[in-house]
Amino acid sequence: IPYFEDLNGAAHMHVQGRHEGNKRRAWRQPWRSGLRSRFRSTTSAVVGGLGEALHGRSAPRAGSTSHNFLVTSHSRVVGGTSRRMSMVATSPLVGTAAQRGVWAPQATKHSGFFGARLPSHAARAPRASSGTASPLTTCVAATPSAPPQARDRWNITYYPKGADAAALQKQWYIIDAEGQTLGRLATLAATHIRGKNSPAYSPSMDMGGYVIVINAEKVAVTGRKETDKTYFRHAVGRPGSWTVETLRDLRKRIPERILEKAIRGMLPKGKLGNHLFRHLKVYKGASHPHVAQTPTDITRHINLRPSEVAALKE
Amino acid sequence: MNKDKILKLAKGFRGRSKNCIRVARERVEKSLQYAFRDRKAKKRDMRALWIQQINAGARQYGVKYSSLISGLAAQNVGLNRKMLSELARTEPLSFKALVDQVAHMRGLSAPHAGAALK
Repeated sequence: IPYFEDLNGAAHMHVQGRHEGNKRRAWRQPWRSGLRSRFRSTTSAVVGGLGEALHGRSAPRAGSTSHNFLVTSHSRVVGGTSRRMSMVATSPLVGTAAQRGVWAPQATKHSGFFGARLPSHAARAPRASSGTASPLTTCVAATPSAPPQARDRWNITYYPKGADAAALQKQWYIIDAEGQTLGRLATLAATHIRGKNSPAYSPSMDMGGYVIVINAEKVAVTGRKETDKTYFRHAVGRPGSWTVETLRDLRKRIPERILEKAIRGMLPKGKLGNHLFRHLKVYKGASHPHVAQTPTDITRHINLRPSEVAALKE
Repeated sequence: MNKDKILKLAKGFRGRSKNCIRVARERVEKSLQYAFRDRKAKKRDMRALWIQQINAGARQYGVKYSSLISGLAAQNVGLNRKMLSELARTEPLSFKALVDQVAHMRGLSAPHAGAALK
């Protein structure tokens, strides 16, 4: 229970009364007399143990009255139990305010119940505990700051840093599209670009790799998709300018676009998806300019179960 | 009083939402609602992420997430998904040991067993 000292050096318990809010309002608006009367009995509640300690201190100043009230029945101590009172009683104040290092105003113009215009959190001296060393009554000196430790890897959620997603650390993969089914190839490429093939995956960061697709014009489709699959285009900002072309025609015109559209549809949409899409490199023909990156060939992984993919690696 | 608190909470908001109290009050109220809702959703999202990471790690070694989890449960391995994902990411060999244990139990470890599944 916090306590403060008034002009005369007597300690008053800051017990919380029912009208605790009024106390603050009275502090800020002392012209409102109606607020004063409500906690008249609570401000002067001092535990008997403290009262005994006050007698043992140096002589009070002239004209002071000792506020050594025992806790009477009409003093409201909300939330306080007998256990709490006994704990405070066993930790008496020793010495004057100055000796204890407690701030107490020496003289102010105002007197009475508002004489000690102290904020409630001020003037808390460490209590000398007499035997009861419970955490509530003992003030422990702050331990010196420990040396900075390494980041606790097991108790702090991991989040990939920029260095983890750096382009220099990304894997390069290559897929030969000749004769491969369009959608099944696109799934594999999108998984590797997104990074879902590694346990370092994070949906909000680019943890995937680069994928090169060669022989894009030779990608295969099943059924009647060669003639029936259509690609819609609407470039101009006015009605009626749309174009629809079949897969066969698009393959003649811009074959890379077939795979690009397929894979883009499997990547997330938005800023991150656009960024990921730039990691896809589709080329017509068998040659590509990324030989220096030594890409891993994953063409054989298309349409395989995980156990079969692992068997391939061995 | 309250205005200052609200504008302090509105730091980083877009446009007038961080400057003007009438706009900021709405946005801050909404942000606090989102925070309340997402404190509960965060637990779900993290678990979903762990499952995705375990799935990816297990598939590297030829086992799917479902097989791994059921296999570990059958062998009374009490590691939770959070720890499994940490292992998969930072202790790959330990994770591989767990996956191999499950694969062996299910008879998937031998390479010819994979070919037989085709």
